[in-house]
Amino acid sequence: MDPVTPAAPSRTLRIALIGNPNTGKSTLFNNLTGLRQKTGNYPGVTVSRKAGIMKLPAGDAELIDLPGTYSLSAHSPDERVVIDVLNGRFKEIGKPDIILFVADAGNLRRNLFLASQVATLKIPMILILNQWDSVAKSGQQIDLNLLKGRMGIPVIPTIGTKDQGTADVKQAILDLLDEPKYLPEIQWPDSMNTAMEHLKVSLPCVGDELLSESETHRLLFDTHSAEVQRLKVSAEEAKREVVKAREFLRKDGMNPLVAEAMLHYRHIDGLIGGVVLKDPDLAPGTTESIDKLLLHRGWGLAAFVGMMYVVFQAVYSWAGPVMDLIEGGKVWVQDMIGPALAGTPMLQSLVLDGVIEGVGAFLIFLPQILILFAFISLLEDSGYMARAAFIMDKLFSWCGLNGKSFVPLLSSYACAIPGIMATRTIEDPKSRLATVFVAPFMSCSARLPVYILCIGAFIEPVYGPWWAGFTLFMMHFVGLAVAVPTAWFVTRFILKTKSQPFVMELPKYRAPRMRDVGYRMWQAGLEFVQKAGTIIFFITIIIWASLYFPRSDSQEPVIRSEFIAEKVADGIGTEDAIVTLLEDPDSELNQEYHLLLGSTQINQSFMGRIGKAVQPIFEPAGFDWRISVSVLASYPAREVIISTLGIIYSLGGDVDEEDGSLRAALKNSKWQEGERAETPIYTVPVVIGLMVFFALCSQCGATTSIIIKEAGLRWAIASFVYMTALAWLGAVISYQVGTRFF
Amino acid sequence: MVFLRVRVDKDPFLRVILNRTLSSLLSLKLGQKARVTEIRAESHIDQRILSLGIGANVIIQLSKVAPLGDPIAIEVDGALIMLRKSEAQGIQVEPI
Repeated sequence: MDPVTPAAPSRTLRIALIGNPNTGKSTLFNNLTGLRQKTGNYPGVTVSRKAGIMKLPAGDAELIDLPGTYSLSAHSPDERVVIDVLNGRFKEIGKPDIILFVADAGNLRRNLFLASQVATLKIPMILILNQWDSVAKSGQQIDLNLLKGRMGIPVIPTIGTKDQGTADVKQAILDLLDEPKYLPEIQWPDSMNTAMEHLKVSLPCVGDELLSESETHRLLFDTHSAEVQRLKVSAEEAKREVVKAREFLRKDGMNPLVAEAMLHYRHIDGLIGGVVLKDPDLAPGTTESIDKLLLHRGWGLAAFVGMMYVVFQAVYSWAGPVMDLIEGGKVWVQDMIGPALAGTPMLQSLVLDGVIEGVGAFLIFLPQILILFAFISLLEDSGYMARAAFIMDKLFSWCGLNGKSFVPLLSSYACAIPGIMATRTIEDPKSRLATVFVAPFMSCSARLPVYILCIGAFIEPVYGPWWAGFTLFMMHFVGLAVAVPTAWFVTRFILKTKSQPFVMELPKYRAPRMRDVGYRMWQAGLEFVQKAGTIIFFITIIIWASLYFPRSDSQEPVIRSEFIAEKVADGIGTEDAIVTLLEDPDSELNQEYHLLLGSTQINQSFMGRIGKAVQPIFEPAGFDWRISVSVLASYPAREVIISTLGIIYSLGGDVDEEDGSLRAALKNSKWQEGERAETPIYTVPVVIGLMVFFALCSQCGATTSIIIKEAGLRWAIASFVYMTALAWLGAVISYQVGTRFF
Repeated sequence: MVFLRVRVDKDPFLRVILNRTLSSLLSLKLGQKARVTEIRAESHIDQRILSLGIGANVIIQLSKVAPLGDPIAIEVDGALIMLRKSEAQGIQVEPI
């Protein structure tokens, strides 16, 4: 660090990394920054933001990794992010000092289109020809010296996956600081200059800041430019002036919508004419041979199903042992710390059931997140992810999603947390938001215990294994059946911005680099723990408090004497004998008594009181107060219902869904008063309604936290309210319709 | 088909529509090569296609159709680019 000088400190150098998708930009970013990265969202939009620190001899520089794009054109605020960053429109990011333009060396012409657009920004630029090895492989030759001469800026060949050329890039940055160099700008025809002049004069910008030349181009060329929102005038007036400006181009014999591409490509062809030599009789490459199999009608589909099966199994099953280890570790820590705090019961409960439980509540998701992101990295870096989207797109496009929604939704069947994080692979923000919104409907593994408890106790014994299996299948299907129309509705009526066209490259296959896989896992894990972890932690503490307070301790003498009297009446022994037994911590009677105390505490805790108070809301679904309390207590994590029911029925919190005594307690549970007195509470319609409720409800604090992080608070609230309302409706319909038949 | 042609030829409006369908990228057979004659830029989707270098006089090949029939992938300048059929409609070609 430089010593502080009285003069204004020179600010950090800002460098933007920009390029088409699939140019190996992320690999270069990893090479340049190492682990000094941070990710998040751009303010106000659902676009992933990635930045890192790059070490240079002159000091640290900030490297901004812009989303991969083919063009600067922007029809929505999301698409506008790239041009906004380049123009310094985000106050907290600032205008970049240098642009590192990453091009796929094997496809120079197409990559330079974006570079030519970016050149109008007049920011010093370095052209990186990444994947340099693919040039020879695809039977091409690039005359590097000729290209350097024509470009007038540093041109650096790199192979990101082999970390070749990274030092050259850093050196070029230093050289550029001494002497800025710019890519030759396109020479516009006169009609174009007239049109631009017209727009600059007639359309003032909000805040008296002028639109830059590149932004004015967007206004002129894009069919529904998102730059209109920056103008002082109304959209209609802007449109009128844009039409007038386009008239200048028409008079010159150009179609304004085609003109930009035509002029830029003419400019590029001039720059690279004679630079790239192609071998016309090249044998089909490896990519083509692999695609013959992987994109084949039959084999391709089979390979896809096979690969997705492995991904799902990995997230669903392989994570199991590690999750058990975390769970075991949590119990071990609780056992270690517990006795030390025995003197202060409240502190003991806060530490054991609040703090340690809270830390465990988010750590438990880490194995699934890490495994899924390892696979996502492998799929993306190898080039298969785009093919998976290609294969699946038809199934998703009609309801407003796209082929890239498949992996996130599939993973959500294991757990919505990694699934929602995986929506970052979806470039189109509209599809991404819709996928985030419907992902929690996929029947995750935490719903399984509820299904097994209900089906095992009420469906299988009465209707046999076939109906049990069918019910379990239908429960996994209910969420999907609701998710599809929801996605359709959300993309059609809620998200009104224009869909991005699903036009993308199927990149050449490449061997993924383990270092990039590792970075991706590290980044996903770190971010989850930092951002979602804290929210999950606090939710757990709040839930702990609502179950712990107010205490029922003052009532204990009454409960104790009633318990003793009851046992005497049952003829178990004399009063003295029972008191002695109660004081022996290992006696069955003592355990029974403590279970009763637990049940009493939950009854009169805040949670229990609220549960009883909201029971009338659940009345139309046939839920009694016990189910209502259990449902409410399951909002932070749905699997909690099993242990809550266990505590309420005085069986303790350690019961599981296979537990015979819990199943028996539910079966024997009867209404105590009213016209239904002495009839069973758990009838088939109630049980189906309960399962439907769990299938549809947003009962997962971790999911809500991750939605806040990925899509913002408004979407999280919308998701919570929508899912809860649907769950209630589903339970009521199941019960009301069901009671007509059973 | 001949019968249809004769009747269509008498109706200038239908002729335009038929010509347009016949010369669309979607009329190509799998593996067939063609020269792009025009991109009917009417929307932001056509604009995107243009920015990918798919413009007049560029040679393209219909090289893949997804197993479920949509989207398709075309080869342009050595790169494989996927697009939905609805998005490919605006690309007018002349088989070579």
